[in-house]
Amino acid sequence: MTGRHHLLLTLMATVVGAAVLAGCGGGEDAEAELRQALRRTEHLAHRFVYQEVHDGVTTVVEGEVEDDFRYRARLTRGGRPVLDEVVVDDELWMRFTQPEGVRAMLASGAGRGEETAIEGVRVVDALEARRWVHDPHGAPPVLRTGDINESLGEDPIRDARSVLRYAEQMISRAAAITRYNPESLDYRPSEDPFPTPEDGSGVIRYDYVTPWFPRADQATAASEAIAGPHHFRKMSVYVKDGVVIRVMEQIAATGEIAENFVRYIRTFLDSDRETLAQFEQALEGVPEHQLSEFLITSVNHLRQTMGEDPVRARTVSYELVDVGDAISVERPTGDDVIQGDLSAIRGRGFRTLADEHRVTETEVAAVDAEG
Amino acid sequence: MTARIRVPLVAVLVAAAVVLAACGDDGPAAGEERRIAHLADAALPGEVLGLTVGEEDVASLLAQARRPYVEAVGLYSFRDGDLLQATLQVSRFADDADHTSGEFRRAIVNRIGTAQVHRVGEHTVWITRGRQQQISVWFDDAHMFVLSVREDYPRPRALLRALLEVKP
Repeated sequence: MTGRHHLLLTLMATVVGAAVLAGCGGGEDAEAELRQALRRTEHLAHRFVYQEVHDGVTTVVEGEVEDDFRYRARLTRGGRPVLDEVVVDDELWMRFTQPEGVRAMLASGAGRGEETAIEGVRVVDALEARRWVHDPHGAPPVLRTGDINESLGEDPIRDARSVLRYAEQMISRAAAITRYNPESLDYRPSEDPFPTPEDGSGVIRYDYVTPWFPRADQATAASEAIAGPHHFRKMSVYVKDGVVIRVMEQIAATGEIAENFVRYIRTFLDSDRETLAQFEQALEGVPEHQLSEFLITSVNHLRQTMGEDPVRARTVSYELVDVGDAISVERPTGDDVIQGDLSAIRGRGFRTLADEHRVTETEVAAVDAEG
Repeated sequence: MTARIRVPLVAVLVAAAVVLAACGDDGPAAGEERRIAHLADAALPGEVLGLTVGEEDVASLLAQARRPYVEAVGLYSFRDGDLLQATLQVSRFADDADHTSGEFRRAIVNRIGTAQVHRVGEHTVWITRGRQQQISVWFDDAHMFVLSVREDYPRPRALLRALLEVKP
């Protein structure tokens, strides 16, 4: 081996070694830092604005959290206020400002609900009349358990209250967690839908690296071969002074994800030439601005045939302010408030705690971290 | 407050798990026995949220303890008429227990059950579920509190918040 050749090999080994070390150590550090920030922030008082755009409809939840048992939230859809909700320990107050919003949140088989404190007036009647209804024991479960992905969109207030827990759950679905680094060879500005932290702001952005689409020929089960929400997810969490100040998510088939998905679907449908030809034909006619919707619809068709939940294409922003400040949630008062049992509303009303405390592995880990 | 006989088995089991268990190897030496005293007057009011507070007799349970990490225990009941709705165990750690360490506290909570961490007011509370009951655990200096509430009691969070203010 010549001296020059030896030098080159040494240099390569050093560079590769440094890259491996940076990749592993940096990723683990970033993930640990992110988990710590999410857990630290989750239980702190704060004010928030949650916004989800799905199917062209913008849903906003604004609110304030005093602690894990007390919050106030206002749901707005398409720019129109729909619902106000206040929870203080076991007590729940609800007021629908759009009567048609009541129906969308009725529990199955609820009918018109129980009678309120006013004779002849049932809970649904009172809610449709835009009255506050107070249920002294009706507060929803404190925090969400299980896979949050499965029920997104059913209850936007619950979605908003669960964003930090959701962000922690999604860490395990990402290929890796990295600190935002525009100098990285992997970074492509055109693929980045989220704002970059301003220089000197002290804000650290943690990015969820989108995993590769599965390879059908390497899957050991049919469900492993099917693409899921995590393959379309871009997500970033912004942290300042150790607490989370913003979470952003986009689930869409755009840019590189769209290109990779088309390759994936071609491999997936390789043995079904007829369906593949239909897909290719349809793909040709799709205008650029509808490509993401078309591709998500395609994957949802596949998922449906395999009994899997659909991918919910969406753009989410969750902003936190006044984190850690003293916040006091005020109870609605006055003649406008009627006593009633809010069990007619999905996820509300007194229940036993069986569903509330189904503890998951994530939550056990959270106990460990709390120390 | 008068002593009552009908302490629910579940509450006793929780108390036993925490009081009697040794956590790790850094506790009192094997074979060493330490008597657990009765923790009198935990500064509880006679009534909380309309529930009558009673002090329970746990002498026989304490007599069974070996290698305990607590030096004194009190057990209180919360009744709606004759119906027991909740119990509160207040324990004071022994001087040689590392009761401010997160690891020690976690070990104790894990003996009761896997739990979710919550922030209630200024307090960190671990909440888990036992057999037909909700169990909340919190620490305050050298004291540990274990609140067991019947699953069908409609005001568990309000009761917890009220009892978080107890300073023995």
